[in-house]
Amino acid sequence: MSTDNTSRRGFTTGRMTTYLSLSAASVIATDAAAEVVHIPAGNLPVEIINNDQLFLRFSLRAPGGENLYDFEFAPETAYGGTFMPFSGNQGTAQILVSTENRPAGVATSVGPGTTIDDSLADPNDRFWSNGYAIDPDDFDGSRHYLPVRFGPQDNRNYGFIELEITPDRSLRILDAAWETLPEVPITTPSSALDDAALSALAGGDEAVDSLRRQD
Amino acid sequence: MRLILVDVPGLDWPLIDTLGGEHPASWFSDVRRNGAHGALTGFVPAIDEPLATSLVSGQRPPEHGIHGAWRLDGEQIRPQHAGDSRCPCLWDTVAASGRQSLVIDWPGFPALEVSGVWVAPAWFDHGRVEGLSDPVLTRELTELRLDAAAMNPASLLPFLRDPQRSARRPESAVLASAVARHASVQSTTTRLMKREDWSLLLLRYDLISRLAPRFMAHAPPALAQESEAELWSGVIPAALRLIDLSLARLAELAGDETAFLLVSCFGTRQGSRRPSPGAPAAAWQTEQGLVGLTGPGVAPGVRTWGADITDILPTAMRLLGSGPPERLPGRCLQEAFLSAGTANEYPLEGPPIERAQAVPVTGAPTCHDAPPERSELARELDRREAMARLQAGDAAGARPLLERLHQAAPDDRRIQLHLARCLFALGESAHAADLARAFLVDGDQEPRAHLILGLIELEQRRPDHALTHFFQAEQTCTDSAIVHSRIGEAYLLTRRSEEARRGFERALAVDPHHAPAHDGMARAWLQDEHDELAVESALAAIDIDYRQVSAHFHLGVALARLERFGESVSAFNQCLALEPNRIEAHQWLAELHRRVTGDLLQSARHQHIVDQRGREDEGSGSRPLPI
Repeated sequence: MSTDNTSRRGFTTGRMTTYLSLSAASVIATDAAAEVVHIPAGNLPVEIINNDQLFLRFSLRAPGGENLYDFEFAPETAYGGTFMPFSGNQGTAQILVSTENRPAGVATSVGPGTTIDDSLADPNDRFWSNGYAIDPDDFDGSRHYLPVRFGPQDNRNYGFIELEITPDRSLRILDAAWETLPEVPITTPSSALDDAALSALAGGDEAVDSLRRQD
Repeated sequence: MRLILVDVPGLDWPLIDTLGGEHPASWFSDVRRNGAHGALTGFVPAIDEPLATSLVSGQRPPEHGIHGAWRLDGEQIRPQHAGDSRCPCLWDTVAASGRQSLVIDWPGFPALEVSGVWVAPAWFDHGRVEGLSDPVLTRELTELRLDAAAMNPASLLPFLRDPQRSARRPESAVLASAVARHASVQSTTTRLMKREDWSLLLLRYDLISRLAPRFMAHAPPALAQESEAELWSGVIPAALRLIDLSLARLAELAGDETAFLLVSCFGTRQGSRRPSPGAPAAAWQTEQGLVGLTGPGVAPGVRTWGADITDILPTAMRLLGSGPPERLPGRCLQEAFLSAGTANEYPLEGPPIERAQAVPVTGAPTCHDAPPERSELARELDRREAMARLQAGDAAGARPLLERLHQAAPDDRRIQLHLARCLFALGESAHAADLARAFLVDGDQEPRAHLILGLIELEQRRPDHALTHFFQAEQTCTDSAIVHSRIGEAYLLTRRSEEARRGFERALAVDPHHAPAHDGMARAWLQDEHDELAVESALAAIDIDYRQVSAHFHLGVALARLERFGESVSAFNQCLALEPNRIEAHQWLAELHRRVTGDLLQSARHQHIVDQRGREDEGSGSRPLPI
């Protein structure tokens, strides 16, 4: 018999090897959302009008300012609506549409941390348009963002509306934001936004003032 | 060398893996990639003061003498402070080598006048100046304290799925309080790290243990109503990310030359192992926490073998550049290091260690809620000491305490059962059986009594009688890994290895980290001569609990059968390092050295021990298994 360590029958040896060794004797936060202008809740540029069926009235305006655009989601399903220009100025206000699940297309969501600009359109199945229903399944749960763009070509503003289908199957707007500078992409809130807040909590003495109530 | 030692009660690796998610800072990932990590076993009941003292003294409660938050001081009842430990603690050793410590949020009241700075929980919770070792710091640290009312609500957004709906709920206040407290601890820590000269930073983040009892039921898959889960399911994941970021921030400030030791003495139940929503805090705890090390000299990507709470001090000493302390029960986790090194930059020998004293208390003598009634506290402290002694294997030390408690309160079922366990451990089976049987009257089926009676039957080699008791226990304890494991053991004794494996499998289905069940599986595989599988099961047991002595023994047997004799000798030596009187291991080593290694001197040494004990063990039937 010998004392070598070679197994004639196989079993995992890695753990055995380490077992044998025993017998030998500035604030991290980066303001990732710096470009995002979140509209105060009381002044959301969108609102839900419950006229027997839920639909969105899309009313983009500068916070506190005069309405620049006013559009309606004409109801098509109990949850959504079709995004139609109120005044008929087709093409100036659009949402992102996908044909992935429905050949005719449906307003589609993007996830957290998605940059919204013209490049979201994909010749195969995604395009910008202003006349499609919202798929409730697509917005079930949280962190679903409906990309929007408005304004004339070459001078477009980009934004998003965070929508949720609630457990009682209602449509709810959680957040909305748009980039005030034309032709500048906007990014949906990502985990980086949470991480920025968490980083402030973890940042220690340098960040403690930012954690205090300002009022 | 500098060391940061952070205790995060309630944290464990499975929790991080399940709910921790991905994160850019990802300190948790980094420690597993570039450092060593594994499981850590504390003890029950998991009470802050004794656990924390064991971490920094390397001793168990019977030795350090701290059993809870309160202390009887003559006729007085006062809060326990860290200086009440009968054993020197890490900060005392650091001070003896002329270095300074920062000790932040470490349990006990008041602060200790340590060499360095001490900021006690009472400072964060009540602004008590006796929570500071140096009152000069009062003004500066006051600016860094944050309470829930002063905190910007936006700071809670990462924790909340629906801030508007959550805002008016009482859970929000619990969350805000815990988060604000964490921010205060972190702010104080980072400020002191930058302005003080320190070699040891000893810190506690208790965010998980504060939040888990309230919010863990809402973590996926939700135990509570779905609508509730939607509100609160983000709390624990965000808390884990916050701790991850907080650790990363400390590491960033400390620099690459600082060693990091992350520990947790218990974990948090998740998935199907969770208790009902609203269960008390202790019900959410698991027996195993975690350990993680990084820093100079630490081997990358290594898993440590099932560590014990007493292993932390020797390991911390090594990370501080000191030699391994002697006469301590724990081991340095040497598998975590690149070399065996015994660098002793700051030798322990030399001037005697002076103990840090508590700062004078000038205000109210306590900072807790109302203290317990004196005789009730005395009983509870005795009970805890007795349990601690039983867990440490000191049944003789536990006996007088339990007998006194039993005499004072003969109707206390817990005490009677502990006394029965104690007497069984001392070999007084008949007396133990009498105490246990007293429960089984009028149709009462106390499962713990059946367990004790079953063990007595097992010891007397009556497995069928033992099984009867274990099955009775199973009737009322269907989800007990201990009961299923005992059933497996009884079947092993009848050499019904298939049924035995089924018992151990059921135990592991309930608790995959139940080391005795893995060890039992190893025995079952050995019975069936599946030696490779026996190796795997024995290693799994040791992975969870390095002190599972019999697992080292069964590993040695399996390796010997596989003719891996060198490794087998190592396993038996490990077994004897933990339990020097394990006669079966001596028997095996005597045979192996005589027949295989040719080391006749070693063979004779082990044979001598076997011969000395042979007569005593003759009836036990323990004989070396054939090679």
